[in-house]
Amino acid sequence: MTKRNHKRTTSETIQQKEEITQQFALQTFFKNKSPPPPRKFLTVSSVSEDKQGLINLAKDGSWKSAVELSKKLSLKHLKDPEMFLKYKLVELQALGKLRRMNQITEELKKIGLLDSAKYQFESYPKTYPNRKGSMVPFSLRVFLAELQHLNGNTEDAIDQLYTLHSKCIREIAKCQKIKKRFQNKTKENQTINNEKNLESLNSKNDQTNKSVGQNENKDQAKSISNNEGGKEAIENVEEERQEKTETNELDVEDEDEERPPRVTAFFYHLQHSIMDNDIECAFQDLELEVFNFSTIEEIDQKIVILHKRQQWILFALTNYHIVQQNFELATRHLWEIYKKYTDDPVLISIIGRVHLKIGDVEAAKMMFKKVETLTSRTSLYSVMNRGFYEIAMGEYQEGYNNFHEICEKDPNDPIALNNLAIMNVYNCNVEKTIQLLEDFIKKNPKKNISEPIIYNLCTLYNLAEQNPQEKKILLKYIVKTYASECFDYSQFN
Amino acid sequence: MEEIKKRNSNINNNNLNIKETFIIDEIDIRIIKLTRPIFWQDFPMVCQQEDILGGVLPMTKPQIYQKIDKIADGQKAQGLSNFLTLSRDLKNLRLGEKFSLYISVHNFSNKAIDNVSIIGRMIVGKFNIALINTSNQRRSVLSAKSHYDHIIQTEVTHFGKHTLSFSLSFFDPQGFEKKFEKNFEFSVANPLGVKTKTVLLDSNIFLEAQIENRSKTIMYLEKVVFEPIGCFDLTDCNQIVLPKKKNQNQNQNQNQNQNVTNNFNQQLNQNIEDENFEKHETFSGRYHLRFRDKRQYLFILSPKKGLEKKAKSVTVIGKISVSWKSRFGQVGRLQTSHLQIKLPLKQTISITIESVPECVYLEEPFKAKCIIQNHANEAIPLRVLFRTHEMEGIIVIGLSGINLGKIDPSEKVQLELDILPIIPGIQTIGGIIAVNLSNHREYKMKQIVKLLVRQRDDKTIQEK
Repeated sequence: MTKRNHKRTTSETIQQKEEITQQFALQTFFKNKSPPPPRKFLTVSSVSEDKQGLINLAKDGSWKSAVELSKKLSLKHLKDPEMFLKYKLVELQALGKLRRMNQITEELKKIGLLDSAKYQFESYPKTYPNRKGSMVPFSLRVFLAELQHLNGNTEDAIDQLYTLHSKCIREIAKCQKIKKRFQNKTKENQTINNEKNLESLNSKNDQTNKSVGQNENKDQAKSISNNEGGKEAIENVEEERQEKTETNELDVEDEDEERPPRVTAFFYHLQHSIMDNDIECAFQDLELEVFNFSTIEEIDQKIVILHKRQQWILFALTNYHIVQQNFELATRHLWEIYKKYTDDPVLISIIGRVHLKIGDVEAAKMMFKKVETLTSRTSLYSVMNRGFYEIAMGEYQEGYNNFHEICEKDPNDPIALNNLAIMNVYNCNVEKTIQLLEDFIKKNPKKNISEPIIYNLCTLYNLAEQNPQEKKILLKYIVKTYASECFDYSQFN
Repeated sequence: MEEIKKRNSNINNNNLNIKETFIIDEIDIRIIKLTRPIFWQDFPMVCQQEDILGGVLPMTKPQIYQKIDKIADGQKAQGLSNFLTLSRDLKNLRLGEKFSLYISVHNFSNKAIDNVSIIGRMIVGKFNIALINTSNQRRSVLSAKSHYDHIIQTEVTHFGKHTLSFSLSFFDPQGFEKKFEKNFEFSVANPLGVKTKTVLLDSNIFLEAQIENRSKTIMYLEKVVFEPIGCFDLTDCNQIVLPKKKNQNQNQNQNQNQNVTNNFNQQLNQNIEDENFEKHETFSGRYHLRFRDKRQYLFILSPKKGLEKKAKSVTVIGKISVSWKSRFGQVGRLQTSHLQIKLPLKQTISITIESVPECVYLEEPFKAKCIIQNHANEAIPLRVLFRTHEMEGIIVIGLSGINLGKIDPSEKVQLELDILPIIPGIQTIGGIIAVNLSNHREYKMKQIVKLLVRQRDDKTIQEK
């Protein structure tokens, strides 16, 4: 009995201590002002137990509850693997946000192989009639690739992303081929119909009067074709059907592939081949989606989706290439995207920033000039870019002025304020920097706490505070009180 | 970064009042390296619009200041943000770059201190570089809970272990003079490795230089310039002149794949006028060097008119100066030491074979003229030796050694040798050595003479 009491008291005292330090932290940070109420996260019970509830949890940043709810919802849909996977994806995303690696690997084991028959539409003909292919959401595949980076294997992440990228390209090429065949077929059908129309007109004009409408012509054409050229017509239609199925199941092999996907796909599957029953599936290649189009509009829509996916992967790849200092590949991907979006100032600013990272100030200047011509010299994009350029030329005061301009126009912009604060350091005024950053957090702690601001504050505390460790602990309490659950606390080291 | 604190007690500390002791622990000097800032790299988690969290992720969306008609899809997955961050430690300092330091002198105590002055030095081996000295401009008071900041800029000109030593002298509230010292250590690495090779052809010197990036971060080479000494003219072989026509974009693309350095800036300016961004690929020429990337440069030095004799006897040819930019335009510049050239050694005694018959047949002796010349400034007694074990395929007929007596400077001696080829095929004449009888030095033949030894046909042998 005494032991239990002792345990309870120690845990209570720890809690009490934490509360005291939290109160102390809030008081010292906010000084004279009253601190805003601490952030309260939504619980599973406070939202509806459905898709919308899950979205609300995610919007609020309550990732722990999101994990719980998505688990519940996925278990509800065990008989509907498509929905099961969608909810599982949300669960994995929430776990990824919370950086719970162990739990993620456990969940992946439970899901099993993605390319097994378990997740193919054809295995469930009653639940999904007339649907073919894999039901695995594309985002899940990308998540698995990016997970390698969180585990510390950036190389693996890049390899898997390239596999997905080549898959997208092959699918786009396949769709375009199908589209061409569709277009050719419709042209042929039109010419056939036109010829038959003419024949019927001629025959009709010989026999009957001139008041025959277009629709009647067609009908007569059909009837004539059915009677006279009946056999030929039937043969034509059958040929069309055969060709359609052929085109739908074509395996496109002669497309440009940046990396040999078979090798990387092989290892990707081996990594995930845990279930004994599906060992055969481990050695299957990453199959392309099976397409089942009936109109050209559907093909066009699919191509748009595939292009979006491809670009998403390219942007993700640039991140990992930059981390590995492989700037040539990063810029190559960005230029590829630029070919389609020549008027996007955000994209061009990104390319300029990558060049600044390398040290190629001239090229960065060119990019920033292009942004100026696209927007205007006074647009906030141009001003921000000019600020960066001034820093690169060593003119810190000019950079300061540029960021100050943006802060005046938009006082809630975290980026401009952070950069303005950093410029104060170069102007020999660390005190003001710390003050600016802390004031910004005080304004709206729930919204304004972000990793780079906290990182900078910790760096400056080392320089300016008598007891930097203490200050960092207090700041940590502030972050715990107000920031979202997925805040990365490694910034404090 | 290592901090080594030294606290020197005051000199006149006879009257210590226990009530008002001044704690020297509350004085501190803090520093931070002020290199260019770093862009914050994020890895946003994104999913497709069709997924459940399609409209929610990523949590931090890219900053969009105004409506853009056509924004690139998937851009929310891009993680290179606009946030600037400062570097935290004193690592990764490179030779040749300017080094900025932010010093903050803190008085954390409750009492003011008087007559504060700081002296800072950078110590590298034997070198002692002054950084800051405010003893002339005595800052009168550093009040309680305040600090005094300063930014120091210095060039890093040595590599290896550096020590920053700061010494603060002040008067405490009791009026005693006190000193506070603090040291910081860091090391500086040499980011470039330069290897050179010289080839002498006629009177021109060809200089090959290989520049390697030995630092772990990327650098963008701006200029590599060779500065020759006065008696040489420089030809820079690292440029290709491209036509300025707009229609020749294809040529530009092809040529961009070759080594173009100084002309690149011209092309850049052209492209601004042409607004030809699509075909402008900055990295097809690869001006940036990653860790262990190398770049080759070629320079030709030709002696100036009238200075040829001087050019021949020169041992030092000039310096290579490399200027680069690294992250966020941080400038760096290094010069190599004077490059030396090895001149071909003049032989004291030279042995050359002057004439040899065109056609030589197996086991049929032929005559060859051998000329021995004395290039030294004094008379040398010489003996010519023929070493059979160094002769392959041909044998010299005659005595194994001939005394030539004393040969005057610049004098030539002509010998007629009888040579018998014994192995068919391409053979070299060798094994002829001149020995200086006074110091027993041996001089070998440097010239390589090759002969084709043919075999006579059976018919001709039978005829004979």
